[in-house]
Amino acid sequence: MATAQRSVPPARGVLQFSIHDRLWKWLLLLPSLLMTTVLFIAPVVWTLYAAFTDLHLFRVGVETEWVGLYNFQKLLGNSSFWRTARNTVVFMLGVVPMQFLIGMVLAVCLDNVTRGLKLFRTWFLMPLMVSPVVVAFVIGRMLFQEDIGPINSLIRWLGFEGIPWLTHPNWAMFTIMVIDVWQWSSFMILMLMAGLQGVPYDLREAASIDGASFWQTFFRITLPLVLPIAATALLIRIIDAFKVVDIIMVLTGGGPGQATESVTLAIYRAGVKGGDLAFGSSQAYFLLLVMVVFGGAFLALTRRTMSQTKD
Amino acid sequence: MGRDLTRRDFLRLSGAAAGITALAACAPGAPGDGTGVAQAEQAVIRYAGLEGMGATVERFILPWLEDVGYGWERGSFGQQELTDKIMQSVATDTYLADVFQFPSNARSDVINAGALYPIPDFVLDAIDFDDVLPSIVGTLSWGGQVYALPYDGDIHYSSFRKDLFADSAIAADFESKTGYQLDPESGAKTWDEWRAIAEHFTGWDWNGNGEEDDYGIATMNKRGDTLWWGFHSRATAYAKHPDDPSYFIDIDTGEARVNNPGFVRALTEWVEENQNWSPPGGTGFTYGDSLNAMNGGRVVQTYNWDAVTTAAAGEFSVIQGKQGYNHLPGSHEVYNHKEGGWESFEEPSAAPFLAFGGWVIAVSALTDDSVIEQVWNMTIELTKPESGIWFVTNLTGCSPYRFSQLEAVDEFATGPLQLGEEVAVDYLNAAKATLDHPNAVTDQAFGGWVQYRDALELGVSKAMANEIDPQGAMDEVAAAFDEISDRMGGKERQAELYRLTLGL
Repeated sequence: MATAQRSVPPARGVLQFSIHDRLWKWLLLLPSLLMTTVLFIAPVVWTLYAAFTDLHLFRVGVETEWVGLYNFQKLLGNSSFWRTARNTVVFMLGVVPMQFLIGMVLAVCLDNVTRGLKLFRTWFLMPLMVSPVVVAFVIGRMLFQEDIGPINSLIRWLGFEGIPWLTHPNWAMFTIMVIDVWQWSSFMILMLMAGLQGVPYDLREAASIDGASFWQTFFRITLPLVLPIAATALLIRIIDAFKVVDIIMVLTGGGPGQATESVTLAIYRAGVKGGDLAFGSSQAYFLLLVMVVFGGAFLALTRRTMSQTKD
Repeated sequence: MGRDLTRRDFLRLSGAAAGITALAACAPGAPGDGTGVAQAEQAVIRYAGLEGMGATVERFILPWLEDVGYGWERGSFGQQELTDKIMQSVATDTYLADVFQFPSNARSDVINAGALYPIPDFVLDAIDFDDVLPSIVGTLSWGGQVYALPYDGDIHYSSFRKDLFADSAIAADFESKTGYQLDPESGAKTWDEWRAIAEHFTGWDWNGNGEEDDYGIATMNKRGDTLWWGFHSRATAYAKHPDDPSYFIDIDTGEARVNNPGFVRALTEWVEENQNWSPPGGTGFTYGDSLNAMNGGRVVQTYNWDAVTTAAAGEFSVIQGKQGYNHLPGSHEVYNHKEGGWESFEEPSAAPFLAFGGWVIAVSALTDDSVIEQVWNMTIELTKPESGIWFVTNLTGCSPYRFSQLEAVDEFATGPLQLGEEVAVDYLNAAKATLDHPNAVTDQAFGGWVQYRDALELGVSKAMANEIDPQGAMDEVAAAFDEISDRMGGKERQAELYRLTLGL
């Protein structure tokens, strides 16, 4: 025991508390544990409970009852829910790879820039600093306004028909993706730039001296070394894309029809606006489950790829 | 390894803990628990309202508050956010403010939960409550008791380009092609006329700007915006029979009615009109988009809440003084749900929609006793007739709700709105014809209204995007209505609440 090794007596007038190390750690952890329990674990458990009841915020004078798996059964048999799930997956698959691609290309280009790098960094940081609601309104509802918006005006001036950016199901999803890619590619650029700066220059230089081409160097040396940070960035964006709600709400409200409604928007509508906390909770848990499975699979794949690369 | 804690360390930790405790103790009491107000010398009235309307209320009431020496705190929210906040505070029985504005559609949810103070008689006397129109009194009351004070008499009325309809060349051309007469005094009297007008004015340069930007109609169609009101204003004439008080659901059984042939016909026609005779993007227009199209001189007719006030404002409009107003068009055929068939009417049967019903002013039941007297005084000042006329004759978003306001032609004609006498008379007559109409349709307010609204908006929006045919869409909506009713406590219970919202 460390205390037994002490040989110097305590100074006079100093009150000593001998607290066991483990206890001391728990004491220090207690505030965070309390906060986590109250602000995270309790709501998560409560939401799980709500998903098994018929709890409704605005139903006055009717007792809440335990309904077992009813909400989940309703969810799985609900075509509207599956439509929102499909929209969410399509959105995620549409935006994340595109953001990664744009981010990687620009990060590699900027990696070779020696002058004005700070300016570019600030430049690319700017879209991230603007609220998605503002982005959706300014770019979406104003630039892509179908009637008198500048993009359609230009298209018509060139002699073509205006495009129904927000009122045709496919175009509406495309427009939302364009806006999200515009805003969040910057995040990829910054993350991947940071990753690239961690790749030792001498490795690339050595490969170059050995006659490796740019692509060989990129795929055999740069990319494997950037992979951990790229995987983190991808995972963050995948989770964000699964939770998309703000730009859809401002741009299309989930329409036309249900063409752009995401799972999170459906949860908001059912649980927050509609007061149907039970059904909203079951949807939220389903989304959480999908994200956990998807995130876990993605991380496993990434680990496997990294270990293969090391070998 | 163990760790020593010196006395100094201990004192530091103790001091920090004591400091935090002291800070917490010094913080103002939680709103509603009385401590914050009771300890203050000045009574503070807390108000929650919309950003724009709340700021207007504040601007109006502050001089009076300063005179009487009351304090004032205003919470400011977006439209959806305010409703959400109110509903959440009601459901969780937590304090939001002493006085708040809330949408009258939520009266069942809010009043039923016991969230409001009943309005005392002395307040009703002080604001001359007998002057308030009966249709508005309905939106303020529950089971015969008044729970809210009037502030805004929201309705949908038809607005049209009177100047174009009065043009003899245009009128002659229209009549020769459609068989209908353009009436600059009433606009479209039936939805058939409305459709003929919409088609006729699409695709030729009637606004004379040399561009292909001329269309027949613009209405509010965007899901999550104001589609609910846009659709029902179009549907009431077909689906609301004058002899039957039911509209959304059956007042006896609680069964949804929204998939009967009246609603389906309205949706079929509405989809066609918006796909063919409205500006590009018209199938997804917000309320603001439809107003802008009208005020920008690009469509000849619409129906809306604030068409008159925004059209009068030069910064928003190129059609000042050119608009006529009327209640919503009617129909010669109305679906009789009880009889199960269409019924013909020689004179068009109109069913103006009291869309939204207006914002109302309410006093929270959680208001502390120490300020309740001041709160009542403030609400009297805000809603008395002299204040009411100020709100409805300025660009505040408030519409008339008193008999006296409907007679106040001069105030509308020459007051801040500067409507001019002709427009003022048209506007007030349209408001009167709507608010006094025996077949006017009260907006949905029977509990869970947000969910019913979302369900209808989803189905209608699907039909508008050609994802599903109108009958299929309304069948889905009806099924969703029935399911919501069941979840809200059963169809019979919802039918009972519906009867209460109709004052039956």
